[in-house]
Amino acid sequence: MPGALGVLVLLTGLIGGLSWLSAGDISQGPGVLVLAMGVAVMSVTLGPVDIDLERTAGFAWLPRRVVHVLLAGAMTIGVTAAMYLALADAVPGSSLLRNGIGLLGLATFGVAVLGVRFGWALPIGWAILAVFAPGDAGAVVRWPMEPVDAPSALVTALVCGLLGAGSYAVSGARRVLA
Amino acid sequence: MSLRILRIELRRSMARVVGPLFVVAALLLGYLLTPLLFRGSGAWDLQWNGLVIQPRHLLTFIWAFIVGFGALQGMRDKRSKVGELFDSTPRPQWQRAGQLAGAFSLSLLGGYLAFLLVGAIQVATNATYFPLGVLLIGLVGAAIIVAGGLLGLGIGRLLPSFLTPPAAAMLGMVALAFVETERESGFALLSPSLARIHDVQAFHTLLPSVSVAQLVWFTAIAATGLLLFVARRRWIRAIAVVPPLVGVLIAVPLLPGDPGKALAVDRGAVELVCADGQPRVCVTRVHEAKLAELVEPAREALALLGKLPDAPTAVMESTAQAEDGVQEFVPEASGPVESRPADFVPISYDSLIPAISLNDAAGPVDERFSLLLGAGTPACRPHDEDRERELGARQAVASWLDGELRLKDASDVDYAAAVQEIESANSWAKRAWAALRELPADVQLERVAAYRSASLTCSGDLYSVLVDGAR
Repeated sequence: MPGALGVLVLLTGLIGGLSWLSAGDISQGPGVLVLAMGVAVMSVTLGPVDIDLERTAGFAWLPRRVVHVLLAGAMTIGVTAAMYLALADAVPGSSLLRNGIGLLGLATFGVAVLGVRFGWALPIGWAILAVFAPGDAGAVVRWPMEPVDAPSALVTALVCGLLGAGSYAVSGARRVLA
Repeated sequence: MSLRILRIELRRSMARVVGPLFVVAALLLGYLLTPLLFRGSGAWDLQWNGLVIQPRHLLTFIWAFIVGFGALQGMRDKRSKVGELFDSTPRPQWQRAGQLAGAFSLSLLGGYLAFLLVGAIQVATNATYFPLGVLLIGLVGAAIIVAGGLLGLGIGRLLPSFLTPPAAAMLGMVALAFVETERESGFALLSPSLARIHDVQAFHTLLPSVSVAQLVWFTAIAATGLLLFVARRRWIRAIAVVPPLVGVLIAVPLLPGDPGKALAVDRGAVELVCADGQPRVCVTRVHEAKLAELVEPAREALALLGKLPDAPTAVMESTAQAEDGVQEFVPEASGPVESRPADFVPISYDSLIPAISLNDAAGPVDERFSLLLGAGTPACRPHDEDRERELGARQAVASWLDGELRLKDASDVDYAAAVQEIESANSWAKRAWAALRELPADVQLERVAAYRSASLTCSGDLYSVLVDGAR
């Protein structure tokens, strides 16, 4: 996890810096991408060091996994918020929280279903889709880009969040052969 | 070297996944976000140029993943901890890595070709004009995709960490987005997607110099990826920074300063092709297939227009706006007045060109009637608030020439706004028709002739010209 945090800070700085250089502010698009990137990088830490060893362990994994996910989410949102604090005029708190929950859910769902190696593809994929999709693509497709009070975007985020947290907490990372 | 290893890599590595994944992702995105592939009269399924140009828009979404999956594959040896084992075998590293890189590229290429095939089947039923430039543009697309994969493989081998694939994908995305923010310079064209190019029309192609520049640049990227992936010595890996530098130096001078200018009119595509016999009926070469069914209604319409003084003597596809600036179509109300021809009826299969549109989305009518609209002139104010007034007058004029009142049928139209427009235009047409028919026959002819000459210069309120005889 420390390595992931390092990469996270580095990349956040890079994307934030670039978009700040070109626009003078952090608009919503780069913000969503930073968040997705953070979530994706964090998702890599969700896999155990040795998956077979984990399976044989005697203690309850569920609460530990939940703590791990919450920690990863808090760190990602924290780093993104720090970027906003450093470079932008204001921190869009509630949309950050909504997007954080939704993207983290996608990442944990990805890890649970596809494994650690491919889990990152879901949050990054949807974030790119949302940011670059044409404006008429619909609120569900573009949910991270919608205003905070858009109900369908919020519902999409919550569904993703619950789906991801639930599937990961129950089953853990999918076992994939190297 | 043996094909056996290549075959095994194709079956056992991620090469078996990425090609099919590419097809599925591209088709899904294309049909989900329809403006990406289907915008303009040069849409993906209509013209050969469009078939190879429009898919670039999809790379905005896909290219980062190609890099990311490449990175994932590139760290296989390290992850499996077989580096020492392979070092002890006599087969050189570049051969083994080369086989894998080949399999990975082949799979991506296969995916790209399969995707293009889906479009090509549709284009083949629509288009007859196949310029050779299409092959070059298509080749550049293949180079972009393979370059992404190889770059990923190289990054994965250079930094074999679990964090690398998402980070590489993200960096690919950031690089793409950053290059595209260069609105003012040709640098934007170094991006895998053609971000600043939207409405690709039937007669558009990419400048060959742009394609060559992009081919050089992405071949350089591919070379870097391959060097990073295949080389074992440090100094060879260090050399890998050279190709992109050389690539930029060669490519940038070839690119136009304004990224929108990458799109140009294909001279061969706008050549006019005319039907045998008189009066002349001509379409551009891209629409040659439509000529046969146009000839008969066009000649009927010309005969009916013959009642008027100074009647047009030909029907020709207008390329008026295709000739000047092409990239930013701001559909002006009517186009420049001087481009409204009096000696022929200008038609178009592209709603952005100021001419009589023959694929009118707002209410299908037969071609003869379309050609008679406004007595063979394009609408003057097709985007105004009260356009229905003019549209109604145009219908009334066409009805008069045709001998009976004809209204547009809104029953097949989906959009509520379009239905409302048709119905409103129909009611204006009915009123104009009734008013016109009350006049003596010679005054009727005079009014219709006056309408035509007023519409040719877009002067005055056209509805009043017809109904009240206003000047």
